[in-house]
Amino acid sequence: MVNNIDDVLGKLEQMRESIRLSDEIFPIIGDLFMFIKEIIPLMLEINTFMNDSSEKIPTASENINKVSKTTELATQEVLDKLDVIIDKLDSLKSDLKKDGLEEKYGAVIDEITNDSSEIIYAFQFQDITTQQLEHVNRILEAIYKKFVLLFESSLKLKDKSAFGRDVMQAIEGEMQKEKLKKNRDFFMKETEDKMHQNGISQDAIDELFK
Amino acid sequence: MEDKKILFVEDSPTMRRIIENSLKKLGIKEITDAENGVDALEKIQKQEFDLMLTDWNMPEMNGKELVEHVRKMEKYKNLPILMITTRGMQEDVVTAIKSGVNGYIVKPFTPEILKKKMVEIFSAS
Repeated sequence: MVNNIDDVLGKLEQMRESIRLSDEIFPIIGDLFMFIKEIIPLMLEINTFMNDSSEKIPTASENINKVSKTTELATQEVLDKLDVIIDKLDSLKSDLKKDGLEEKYGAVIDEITNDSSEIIYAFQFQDITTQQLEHVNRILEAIYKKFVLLFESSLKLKDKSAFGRDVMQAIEGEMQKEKLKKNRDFFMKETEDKMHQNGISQDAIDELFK
Repeated sequence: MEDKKILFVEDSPTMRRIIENSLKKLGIKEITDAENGVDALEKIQKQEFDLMLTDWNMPEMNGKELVEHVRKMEKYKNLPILMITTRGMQEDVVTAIKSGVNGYIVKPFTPEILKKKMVEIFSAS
């Protein structure tokens, strides 16, 4: 009965010792067993990593979308204000013209209007960064899909052979163990969403102080 | 240039405001906007235009696909088209030219560049 990785590795060792082959074949088979013994713990790590990171990717992707939407809204607000400023400057210039003061102040007003226009053009960065973030998002989504596919494929190993079933069962058993849990906790802490925006309202915060 | 009817296609609300602002500054009065290629194709069938400005990366139908569609329409076979995009690789420009654009501007652009390209396009057409 195989319950964990040590059982699988033990079973492998028994198999290796029970095989009696010619001197020529023995080193090759020995190497093969060594390779399998090293690859199994690695598979365990990979499976755990795939499982944990695929849980994180959708949240990361969602956060990227939130960033785009937030900057878009903020940009619109700034552009609204700049439009108002430019309109006010136009109106001020007309009033100064009526009072014969355009010559004295007109140039300054034109300068401020031009500076405001330049600020509007500078906001093209919003579209550019949004497209860059969308690119990152597409990469994340592709990685996520690949991880899910790999994870599912690894589970299918169970059906391929009795040994594959033992290995996968052992990996699944190990994934629940304490040492692995520590590694997972570390990964989860490292990749924690530290902002949690909109997670709690001000009213809810104030309520906590009562 | 002031009397030209212009359609610009852009999915970003920020860029739509910036482009509209630029066109108004050039004295253009008849400005129509579209959010993507599909929206642009609908508008182009209802109204005639003298110039189309289009982004490349857009949902539904992107700018390259839009240009290819427009070029297949008898009425717009020779419509001047200016692409304004973040795609700044040489192969992008080549692809855009092959699809049928008459001019290409990489974002971020200045109003001077836009004016220069529009003058060039109208002079050539």
